[in-house]
Amino acid sequence: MTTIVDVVNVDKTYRMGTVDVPALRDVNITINDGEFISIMGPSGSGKSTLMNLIGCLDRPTSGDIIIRGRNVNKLSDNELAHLRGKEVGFVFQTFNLIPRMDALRNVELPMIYQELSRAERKAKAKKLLIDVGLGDRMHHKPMELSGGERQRVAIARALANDPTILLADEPTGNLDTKTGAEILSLFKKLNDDGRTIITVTHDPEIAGYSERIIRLRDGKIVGEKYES
Amino acid sequence: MKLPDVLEYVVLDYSNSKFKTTLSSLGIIIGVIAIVVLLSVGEGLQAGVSGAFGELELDTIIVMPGGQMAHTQRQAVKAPAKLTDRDINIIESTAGVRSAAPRNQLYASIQYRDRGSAASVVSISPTKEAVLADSIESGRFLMKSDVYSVVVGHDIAEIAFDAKLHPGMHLTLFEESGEKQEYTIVGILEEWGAGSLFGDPDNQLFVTHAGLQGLADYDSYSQILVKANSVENVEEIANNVDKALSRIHRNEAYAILTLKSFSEAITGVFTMIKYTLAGIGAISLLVGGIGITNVMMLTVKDRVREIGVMKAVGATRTDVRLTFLLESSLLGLVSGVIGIALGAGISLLIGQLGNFPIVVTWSTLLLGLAFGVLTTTVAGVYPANQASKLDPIEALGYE
Repeated sequence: MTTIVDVVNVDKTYRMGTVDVPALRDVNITINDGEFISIMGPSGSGKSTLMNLIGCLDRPTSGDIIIRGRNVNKLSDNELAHLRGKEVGFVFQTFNLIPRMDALRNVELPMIYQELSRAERKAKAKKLLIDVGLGDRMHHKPMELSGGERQRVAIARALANDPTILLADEPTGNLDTKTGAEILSLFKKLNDDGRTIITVTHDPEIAGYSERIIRLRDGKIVGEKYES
Repeated sequence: MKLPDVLEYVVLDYSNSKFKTTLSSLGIIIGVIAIVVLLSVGEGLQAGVSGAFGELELDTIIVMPGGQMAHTQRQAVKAPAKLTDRDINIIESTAGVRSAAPRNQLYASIQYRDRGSAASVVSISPTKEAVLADSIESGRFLMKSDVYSVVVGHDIAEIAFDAKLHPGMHLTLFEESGEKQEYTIVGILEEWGAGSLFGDPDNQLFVTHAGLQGLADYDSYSQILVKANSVENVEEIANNVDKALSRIHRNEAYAILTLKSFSEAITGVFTMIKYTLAGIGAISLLVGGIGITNVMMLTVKDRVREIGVMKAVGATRTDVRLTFLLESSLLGLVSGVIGIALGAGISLLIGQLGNFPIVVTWSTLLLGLAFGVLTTTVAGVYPANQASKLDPIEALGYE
């Protein structure tokens, strides 16, 4: 198995006024291609911080994060933004679609920043929307879509640049049980197709789908469990 | 991020916020209109003044007796020079001089039948006054052999008396001392409109030098209008004339002035007026620009979350900055085009309604457009920078 993400001795400290607040302490994780990992833990345990670091939205205070052999600390801001757009696909609890744009254009957005041609983007966005079951909703704006549909658009968007990892932060948190289950089975299907997925969640249901559960408490890894 | 994609994004935003966009553009549109209108009015004023001088007059050098005021008390006051035909000959043989036309002038009462009026009567050498000769409307111009013949300016012929004056009619002129003389009208001048520095031909009468002797005895001229053979060398030729005249008028005073220096001074003043007017336009643009900055700041604030999403899906700082900057510049471009179109229209309308000289030039329009775009671009820099600096994590958590 290939290692795609290496988190090595990572500390992350936030400065709140004059006080340093440690969010992560000496975290080490190795993520292999094709894994389905859940990061669990109570509020304030540092799981969102960890996700932001793996997602290249932030840099560690110390330690290294290596994504496909590239050390995040050694990249410029613009290089980091580019890496993020290329290697990471985000799925958020609140979907975070751009309300002014229809579904198709929302899915196109990450490809615009990777400078794909117009024709290429349109074709790819259409295919992705069809894959998530929204072939007939492409020209609807987020407001015209149900919660589950919005999250499908967000997933299609996350997959736009064929990223190395799909990062999902409480992806079912704003959905009812039935819709949540549908989204989960979509994740399962993507994982079966070989996609690496990391979710941050409270939901034991999601954890049930994953192959590995990493538990965090007070910024430290307190448990790691492989599901059979 | 490629430029066409940024444009597409920006245009998409316009179509979603027409009202806000229109409102914020108004300040810029008004500013551009102000610049175009004020510059056009300024250009018109300038063109009007230059037109009054005309090409024909810029090559003119005026020689007058007396002249310069004593600069200090100690400076000896010279007697005024008597300008005679000898001076005419000297001037005409000076290098660069095409012709020298002597004039005298007096103010006289005019009587036509039982009606009276008054005007200045100018005596001229008919063969040397080609410009006047060319502006005859009816009848003929004066001839060298004419004595008691008169050519009448347009306004005197049209409005000074109950009846319009025509060639063939007789006028009696009275000089202050009581001398009087009857003259026959031989021609009427067409309308000059704007006056010239030599007076207002519309309100003057023209006679020959011999003809003026009937009213007063003159043994010299009050003015010699010298035509230079090139406008460029007027100053140099004026110096030549001065040198030639100084030999025979050693202890007498005379003045030489050129219209070119005069017109340049006046043109300078009007250029200043023009740019002052444009400055007023620039102030309205500045105010418009502050409005744009304000609206762009609000736009950025409205879209904090969206900027977070843009960054999360791979937008660099440059992408974000470019997006907002271009949105602002495009606002300026559209407002600028509307502004110059309206500005040109309003300028022409003012010209039509006010019977006022208005000149709308391409450079005025380009300047207006450039200022519109520049203002909004500069106005967009700060908000665009703020947007690009947003921390994506905070932006995504923003409610």
